[in-house]
Formats: sequence, structure tokens, C-alpha cells
Amino acid sequence: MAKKILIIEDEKILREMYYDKFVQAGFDIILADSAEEGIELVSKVKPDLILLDILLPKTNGISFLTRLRKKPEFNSLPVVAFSNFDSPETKKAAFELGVKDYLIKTNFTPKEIVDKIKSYLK
Amino acid sequence: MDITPTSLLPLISAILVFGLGLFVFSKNPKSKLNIVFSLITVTVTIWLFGTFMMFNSQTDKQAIFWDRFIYMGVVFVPALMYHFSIIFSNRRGQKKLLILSYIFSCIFLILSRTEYFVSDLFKYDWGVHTQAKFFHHVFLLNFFYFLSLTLRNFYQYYRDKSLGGLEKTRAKYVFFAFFVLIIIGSTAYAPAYQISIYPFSFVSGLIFTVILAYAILKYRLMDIRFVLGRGAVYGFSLITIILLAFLLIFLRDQFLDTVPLNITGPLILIIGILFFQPVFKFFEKLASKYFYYTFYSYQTVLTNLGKKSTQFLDLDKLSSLIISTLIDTMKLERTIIILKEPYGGKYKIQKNVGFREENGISLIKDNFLTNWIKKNQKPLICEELSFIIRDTTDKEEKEKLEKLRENMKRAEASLFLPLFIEKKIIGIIVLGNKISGDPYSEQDIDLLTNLSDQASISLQNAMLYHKVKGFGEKLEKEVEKRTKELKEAYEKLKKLDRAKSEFVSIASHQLRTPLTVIKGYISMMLEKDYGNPPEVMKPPLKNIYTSNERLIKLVNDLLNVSRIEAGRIEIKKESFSLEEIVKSIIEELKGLTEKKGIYLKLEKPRKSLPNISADKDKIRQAIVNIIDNAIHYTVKEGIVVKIEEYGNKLRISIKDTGEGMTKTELSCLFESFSRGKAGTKLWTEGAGLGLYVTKKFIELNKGKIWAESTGKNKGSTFYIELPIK
Repeated sequence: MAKKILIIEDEKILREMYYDKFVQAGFDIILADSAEEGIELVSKVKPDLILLDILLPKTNGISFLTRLRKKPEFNSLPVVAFSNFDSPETKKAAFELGVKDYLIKTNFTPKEIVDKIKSYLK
Repeated sequence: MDITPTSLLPLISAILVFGLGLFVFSKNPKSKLNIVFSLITVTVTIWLFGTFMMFNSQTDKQAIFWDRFIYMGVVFVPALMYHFSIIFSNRRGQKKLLILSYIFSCIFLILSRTEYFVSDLFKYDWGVHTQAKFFHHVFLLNFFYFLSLTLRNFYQYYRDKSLGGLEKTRAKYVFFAFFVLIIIGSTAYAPAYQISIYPFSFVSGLIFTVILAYAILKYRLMDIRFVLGRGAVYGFSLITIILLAFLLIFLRDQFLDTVPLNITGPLILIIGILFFQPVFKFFEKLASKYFYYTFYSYQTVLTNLGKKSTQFLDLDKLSSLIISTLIDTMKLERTIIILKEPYGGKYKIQKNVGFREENGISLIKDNFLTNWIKKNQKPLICEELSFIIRDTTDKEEKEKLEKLRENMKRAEASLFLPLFIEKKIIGIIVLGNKISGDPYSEQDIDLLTNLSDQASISLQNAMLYHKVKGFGEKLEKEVEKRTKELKEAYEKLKKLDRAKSEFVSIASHQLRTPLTVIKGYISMMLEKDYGNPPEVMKPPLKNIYTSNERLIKLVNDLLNVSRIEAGRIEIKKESFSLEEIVKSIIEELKGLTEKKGIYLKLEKPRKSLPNISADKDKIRQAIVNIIDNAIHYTVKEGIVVKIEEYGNKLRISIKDTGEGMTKTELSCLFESFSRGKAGTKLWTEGAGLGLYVTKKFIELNKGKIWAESTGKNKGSTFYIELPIK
């Protein structure tokens, strides 16, 4: 059974690009363009992993994580943060909220990200 | 003729009086006052000479002749005195009476030649005197009538409120002179009425003339109280000593009459002389206490000022001291100290009490004034200006003096007291009127001159001190100002710098998104996600990818630099094997070197190396940067990496066979935005930020990085040294 991955990304082009790659790699992809939508979808689709952008409109990735971790059923849901924003403080906060990794988008090709995700799902 | 010293006295007086009259007349022959005064001296001379001749008359006839001779002058006395009073006190409307008085004088002149004026003689112990007859009685009425008019004129003049202090004093003197003449001089009539009074009254003629001449001639008059006080002190001292001498003579007669007088006499004289000084001092003390107690003591004022002025170097305090001394001693309404700034500066008000500011400076602006003072080297007194003007012949100067007098009057300034240092004016103290309205006396001017000498030195010192101090303060202020400016500039720069970092950070983040998209899609194309691209498209796609990677690296470097400069880099220490890291890097970069046909190898360490404790990611990135650099600058042979242990440090050396570097290039290698010369040729894509970031990363881990090169085309070696713990 294909693994379900929720990608929360506000940039449309990136959303489409990652969608292509992940689908091709055989993942079941659910897309959200904001933290609010992401929260809704998490309870609905119960993904195996969340790929979370940090710089999001209105509610940012860190707030999303905080809310998510408050729900007991998602307390240990694997989340990988990926963002082009990488201030040390934000990185620290993300790790404290239990992200598996904090990936800088430009430093990885979509394939590399897929590989990383695969390794985290093992 | 039997001439004795006593009988000579009238003759000497006569000569003196006559000389004085001539002198006053010659001083200003056009002045009516001087002319009338001179005529009075003629009558007094006649009186005194007549008296002398009368005393020395051998016969009754002669005595009567000389007494009648005296009346030749005396008959004119009422008219002349009256005339004098009219001129002196500027009276008007008394002309008819004056003419009448002269007519009377002429009539009495004729009458005095007759038997009905004086004739016959009274015999006294001291000599003879003529007897007053009918017309003499009439003459006396005439005499006292005009004398009373004269005194009334003086009195009214004295009471005139518009009168200046000097004129008032002058009036006092004149009044005093006439008073002496009337009280003493009138006794001269007594012997004519069978009253035996020794005719010493001629002395009054002398005193009267001297006082009047003094009042007319002198610009500045001594305070009359002071004169009287001094006179009294001398008089009392003399009387005391004479009494003492008489007492001693009496005692000698009683007890020592066997001792000859030529022994006791000089002894008494010596005692008298020795006693004079203490007696004089005693009376002087008494007088200063009860008689002219209002007088300042010169010495005390000067000593006090001298003592106090050494306590202040502060110009302001010193000026206040001088002003208060002046005001207290002279009892002034207002005083101002105007000082000339050192080294040819402008005049400036230093301290002002009572003057209107604009007046103070307007007085000094007058060049004529300062020149006058410089030329004459003495104080200038407003009231004396009238006399100075009168005695000035130069028309232009006269006009200027008149203007100055007006200015002084308007500004209510009555005295300019110059402050001299080596005959140069360093300032002027302007004094106002005395509260009492009294003029400045001779003593005042003496004191003021002495005081100004003392004040000049103190003020000069203070001014120089002030200047030096002011200079120091100015310097301090200037430094403070500059420091503040620098600080502000620094803050501004810091702000700008922060803004720059912020800008770089935000811009970089914005740059990263499109870069991610390009990177992603190109990589996916090459991975055949969108079908197998034609072979010809593969190299361009790869080129786009490589260029994009450079851009990504540049953005990463920019971000790192901005973070380093903003001090926002954190170090996460962990223990790891440096050798393993280097191995993995070489593995990663092998592809690049193979493509360029150069080698990249790690020299196996001779012994096993310890782990180090540092920020693994940053150390890795730093080493990647250096090796990456080496690969880019090397076109043949290759790169050898070595790791060695040096004490408590590990040293990595990366030796290439590339372009090499000059000393200049080496010196600025690790600065931001500088690139090696070779770089401009071979690797134009780089912005030279890599080495800067590398150095910072190493330094943040307490390590050291440097490079060596023996010269152009001889390759270079980079060293990184890191502490083990």
C-alpha cells in the first residue's frame, strides 16, 4: 500500500513539482497550500508523513507544528521540515517540536528529498 | 622803620595775593570770573600792603595816610564781591544793583579821602588805628548789604538741584572763603570803633584769596570736610605741642632756673618735636572716628583688594570683587568693567552693575576716548571735561571732547578709569555718579588710580588664565563633539549594516525559491521524469544545472556572510573523526576532478588520529570550500590532502599545483569580496565570499586558517588547524 504524504507548501510551482516527483516515486500525495488547510487534512487523511514548509502565509510552519503536537494521535507523526528559510532560531524550534529533518530546498533535488523521505519511512 | 617778622607778614601776604591774582588772570584772561577775581586780589593787595605800611608808620599822619590808602581798595570790595557772586552763580537781573554798587564804591572812594570817613587815631597796646567817622558808618551799611546779597547768591546757587557735584563743591569752597573773610576780615573794622582787637584779620585776605584761586583753577577739588579735618588735626596737634612747651618752660622756671636756657631750650624743642608725631596720630585717629569718619581708609581698601584678588583666578569672580569694592568704597550708583580681549581683541562688557548695556559699549566704541586716555595715561572725569574743553585750543579736538561729554552725560557715566599694563589699555572701568552726588575728589582719584593699577594686573592674569582655560574647554568640547559625531556615524553605519544584512537575508530567501524550481525541474528532466530528452539537450541541461548550483552556492555564501556579520551564527559542538569527513568530501568531489583530469587524494596519516570536538557541518563546509577552490584553480596534476597531529591540534593541509598566489593576493585572500588574481581569469563565477565564510567558520570553532604560496604557477597550500578538544 502506498504511503500517504501530506505536503504543505504555499508556492504553487513547487507544490506541482514535488507532486510530480513523489507520485512518480509511488507515493500517495495530498497537497495543502496553508497551515490551516494542513491541520484540517491531517485529521481527515491521517498521513504517514508530513513534508512541511516553514514560511507560510498567516500561520507559519512552527505554529502548525505546535498545534499538531497538541493532538495526542499526531504526537509522534513524522514531520520533515523543508524550507528556504533557515535561521538558526527557527531550525532549533522545529527540532524541538520533533521534526525528523530540516531540509533547505535549494540544496536538494526532488529526487534527493524523495530518497530522504523514503529513509525516514523505513 | 622798625621791621619785625610780624610786621613783614602782611607784606609777604600782599605779594602772594597779587601774584596769585596775576596767575589766575593769565590762565584765562577772557574769563569774566578770572578778571573779577584778579580785581579782588588787587583790592586785597592794597589792603595788605596798606596794613604793612600802617604798622610801620612813624607818625600819626603817616598812619592816617596809609589807612586811607587801604580804603582805596576796600571801598570796591562790596561791588567786586557782589559782581563775583553774580558771575559765579550765573545770576541774571541784578545788573542795576551791580551798577549801583560800583557807583557807591566810587562815591565812597571820594569820601574816603575826607575827614568825614576816617580821621584821628585810637591808641592801642599794639599800635594805632584811625577812628571811624560818619561816612564810614554808611560805608559799613553798604558793605554788609552787598555782602549779604553776595552770600545769598552763593547760597541759592549751592541749593540749585541741577548743579553737578563738582560745582557744588566749588560753591562750598567759595562760600567757605567768604565766610572766613567776613568772620575774620570784619574784625578789621573793630579798632576803628575803639574795640581793641589785634589786626590779624589781614590773614583772612590771604586765606580767602588762596581758597578762591584753588576753587577757580583746579579741575578737581579736595573734599572740604577732608581739608577742614586735616587742618583741624594739624591745628590741634600744634596747639597741644605749644601747650606742652609752655608747660615745660613753666616747670623749668619753677625747678631748673639755675640751668641756662641754652641747654633746656633745645631740650624742650626736641621733646616737642618727638611728641608731635604721636600727638598728630592721636588727633588724626580721633578725627577719622568723629569728624571725617565717612572717609575710606586708603590703605585698608587697597590691602583688602590686593589680598582678596589673589584668591581668584576666575575672571567673573574677580570682576565682581573689583566692582563691589568700588561701589562700597565710593558709594556709587553704577559701575561697569569693560575689558579688551587679549591680543588685540574687541572691548567686551565683563561685569555691569547699573549701567544700561548698550550705553556701556557705546562709550567705549569711541576711539577718541581710548586715544585720549592712552595719550594722557590718566582717568577721565566727566565734570573736568568742561575745563579740558575750555583749555583746549584745537578746534576739532574741542568738538570731539564736547561730543564725548554729551555721551558721558547721556550714559550717566562720570569717570573713566583706564586699566593699564605697560601703558597699554587692557580695559576700562566706567564709574557712575556717587549716590551722594559728591564729585570725585583728589583722594578718590588717588585711590582709584592705585586701585586700577592693582586691578589691571589681577584682571590681566585672570584674562590670560580664562583664555587658556577657555581654550582647554573648547578643545574638550570639540573632542566631545567629534566623538559624538563619530559615535552617531558609527550607530548609523551599524544600522545600515544591519539593514544590509537583513536585506541580504530576505533577498536570498526570495532568490532561493526560483533557484529551487530550476534545480528541481532540470534534475527531473535529467532523471527522465518527463521522458528521455534528446542527447543534444543533455549537455545544455547539465550546464544550466551547474550554473544554477553556483548561484545557489553564492546565495548560501551571502546568507552566511550576513549571518556572520550580524553575529547570528551558532556553533553546535559534537565529536567526530576529521579523517572520515575529509574522506567523504573527497568521495563527493571525485567526480569533478575526474572530469578535469586531475587527481585528488588523501595522504594516509602515519598514526591514527583522535576525534575532534567542533561544529561538524561548518567544518565540513569549510573543507569543501577549500578543496572545491583548489579543484577550480588547478588544471594539471592535482591536489593532495594531509592530516597531521600537532600537539593538541589537528592540521589539514590542502596542497594544489595550481595558479599560485603573490604576496598581495595572499594578504587579502580571506577578506570578503576579494578574489585571487587567477580567480578573475579562471573562475569568474565566484564572488570571493567562499574563503571569507570558510575563515569565519574555522575561527568560530577556535581554529586557524592560512595559505602559503611560493609564487606564481608554483601552486598553493591551504592550512586549517583545529583544536582537538
